[in-house]
Amino acid sequence: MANNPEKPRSMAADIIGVVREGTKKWTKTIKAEERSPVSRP
Amino acid sequence: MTGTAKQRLVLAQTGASHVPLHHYFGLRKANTDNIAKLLAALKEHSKSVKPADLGIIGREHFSRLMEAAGGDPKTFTYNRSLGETAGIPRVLEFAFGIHREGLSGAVPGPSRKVITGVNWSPGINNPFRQLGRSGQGLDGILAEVRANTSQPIIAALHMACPRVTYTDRGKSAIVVEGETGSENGE
Repeated sequence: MANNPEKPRSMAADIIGVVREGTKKWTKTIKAEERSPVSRP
Repeated sequence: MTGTAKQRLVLAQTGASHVPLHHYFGLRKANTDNIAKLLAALKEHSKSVKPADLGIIGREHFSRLMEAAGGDPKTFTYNRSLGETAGIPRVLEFAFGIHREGLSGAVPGPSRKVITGVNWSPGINNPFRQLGRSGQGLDGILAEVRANTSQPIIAALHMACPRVTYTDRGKSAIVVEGETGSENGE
């Protein structure tokens, strides 16, 4: 959650990083649903 | 810079001891040489501010507000990133959750709600419209992670930074510098 040792350096990369990390589970679920609509948990 | 010993060092180094402020900074025109000299001396004799010292809103606060806005607590996520660029510290906090009505499959379901803020001030519009040189904004990133405007999600992004450059006088968008990694196809 806090400091990642492989944290990107720039502010832009940091913003993209926190958004991607925070939405990881959601994105995985939606992508699975796109592949197969019945796969949604 | 609260210690008197360090204050004396800075004054001695800049030659500003017992000099009236308006003489040091310039009577008719700003004396940029003196200002630069003072900044350099202050930097030399003080420690840089750690990102965490800027202040962190925290998981609990985001969680409480997310739930009040209709978010499902089980889907709540919170991330933060502490960093600095060229000695300027920053704190980024991102909270995400799914709207309860979205989970229940209500038709029509709620649409996406994005709340953004810079230095504890909420943005009227999304101030993160361009991230780095890629030209992609927060909306683009959310679309990329499948959090499109039609999705029943709530997202909140807050940035704390002592130096923020706005693109317009209305302070509706900020300049977010740096490489994003996507320019190189990463």
